[in-house]
Amino acid sequence: MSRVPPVARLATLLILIIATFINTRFTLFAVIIAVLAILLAADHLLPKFLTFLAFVQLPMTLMLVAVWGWVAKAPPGMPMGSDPHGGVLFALLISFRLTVLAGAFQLIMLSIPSRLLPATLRGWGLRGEGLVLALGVFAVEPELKLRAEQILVARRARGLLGGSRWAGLKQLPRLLRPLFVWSIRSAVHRAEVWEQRAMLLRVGLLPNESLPFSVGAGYVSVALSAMWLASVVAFRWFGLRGIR
Amino acid sequence: MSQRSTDLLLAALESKRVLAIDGPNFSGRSDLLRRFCRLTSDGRMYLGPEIYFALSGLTTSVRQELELHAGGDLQFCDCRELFETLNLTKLFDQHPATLSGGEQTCLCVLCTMILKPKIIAADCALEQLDSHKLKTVLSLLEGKSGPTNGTVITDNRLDEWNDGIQTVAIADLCPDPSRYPPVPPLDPSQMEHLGPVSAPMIEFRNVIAAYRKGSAVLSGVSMTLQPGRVYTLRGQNGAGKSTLAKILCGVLRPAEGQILVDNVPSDLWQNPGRVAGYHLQNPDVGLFEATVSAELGYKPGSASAPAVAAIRNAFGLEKFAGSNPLALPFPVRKRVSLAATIARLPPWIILDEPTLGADAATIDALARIVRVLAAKQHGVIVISHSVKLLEMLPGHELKIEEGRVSQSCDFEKALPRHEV
Repeated sequence: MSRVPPVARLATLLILIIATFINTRFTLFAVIIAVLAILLAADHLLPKFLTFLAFVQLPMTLMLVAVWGWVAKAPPGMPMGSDPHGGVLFALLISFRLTVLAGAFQLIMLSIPSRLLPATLRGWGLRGEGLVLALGVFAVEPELKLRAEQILVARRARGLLGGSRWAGLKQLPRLLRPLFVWSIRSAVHRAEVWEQRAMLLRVGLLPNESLPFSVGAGYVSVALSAMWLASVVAFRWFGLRGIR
Repeated sequence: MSQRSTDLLLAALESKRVLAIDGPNFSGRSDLLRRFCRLTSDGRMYLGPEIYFALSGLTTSVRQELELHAGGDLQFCDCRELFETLNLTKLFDQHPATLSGGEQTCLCVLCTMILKPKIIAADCALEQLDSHKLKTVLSLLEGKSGPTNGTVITDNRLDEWNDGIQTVAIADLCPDPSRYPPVPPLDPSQMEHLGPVSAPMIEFRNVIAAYRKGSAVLSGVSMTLQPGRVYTLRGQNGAGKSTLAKILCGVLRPAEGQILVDNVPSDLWQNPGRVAGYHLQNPDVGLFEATVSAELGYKPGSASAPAVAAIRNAFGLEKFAGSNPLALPFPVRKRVSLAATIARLPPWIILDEPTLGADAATIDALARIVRVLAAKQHGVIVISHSVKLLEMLPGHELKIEEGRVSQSCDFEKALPRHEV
């Protein structure tokens, strides 16, 4: 995916989003999740996707199943307690949609090589402050993560917590104060730096020439997502039967 | 800070390539330089002691950061020789925030120079550079690729490296120093109230450390550290000094090798910070509490209260006991962070760049504090590029070169100075 041009990347994402909201068949969800997993693995993003599934998607799915299958015992629009099976299916449908959307976003956004990020964002029409904001969003996560790690290292180095991951998790509230102050201080100092260095202007000048985008990869990416959309539409509105 | 001060500074800088401002902490140097750069769009650029804030925060690699400043592909940049001179080429794919302090400084200086400013104001920004890199950076700033109208520097190591650079006293630029509230000096004599400890001997056997597979930062370190001594850990920027400190305090698990504590194999990473406490060079990541007292772990009436109070007073922090540590000026935050590490009274204490932002008087007092800690049988390891500090400490030296540590001892220096 790293060589897919910006426009094809965006088109792929939009098609996937539309198809995901149209689709109501679990088989088709399973197919697209499998394809996404293969593509994510090819871009070394599968661990991130699996982490998301384990720590976000799974708890959310359990919660949705509990609410619609056990508390409401019916899908929306039906009298409460009338269709527990339908409630569970509705919860699973929402959960599958979120899984596909998360996978699609990770594949489209995180597979952009950092070197091609400015060009890709410009290819999506972002300029000036919008471009800076988008670049900042991409850069802030790794920087915040590094800073959080440094704070945990500092706490460990002072003997304030053990070496286990659980001990680190328990310290999350302790991270907030220094992280918050760092964010504020960083914003103040960097505003000054950006102004002195005319950073808004410079971001627009980041290199754009001889980018290794592949038009072929773009066509393949759009074609694959269009095929999935076509099959979703076919199953939904043209009477093709499949396993629910 | 008056407009007159900035005018005086501009006049003092005229026709000089580099001008140094001499003065102690809290004398108004930083305010002067900030104002000097803030109130104009005349190509003046400020680099502060928190050097990482001079990075754009928009990029995820050193190459991108340089491209952002160069305004194009580095292949067509006329500053290629600059980043080769500063050894930045090998760091191109790293995230700027993961670089060592010295490497970040080189990157920030270079990015600023690429913009071809008229004046660079480096406010204690060069203190994390080793002597070789400092010399290189100064020669670049003085050379034709430096700022067109010169560089203004404040640096607490001025007397160590200043060889012919014009200096102006801060008092000549800011005739009204009374505007700055006085900050109490350090009082090393307070440390005498601490009781002795029993620190263990630590032995490294062929310890290898790496952050990524195939790129060992430390490649087979073997050394023995005796308690009651002060070790100075030296090495160039990026040599692995902080990595060694992280292993010693148990924050980083070595990839291979064995660590013995009092001749018993030990997994320091199971219990980080117990054998050795580590003060990180950036104080802002090591301050967590709402008040300085809480940060130091001061609880009135507790068994540790007298010792913590002694340490608090030794670092001149009594006045700030109820203050939010993160709201204090950088030199005071550094003091709080140092005191907080020592206040837990770990048997071994590792101090990474304790003199950042510290003036001559503070460095002198810090050296005395370190010597008292050793006299109380703590083991102390000091990582610093401050020649002034290192010269004042007993002569046990650890030197990192190419991933290996060599030990030496200057006995003439070690023995007489060991007593406080």
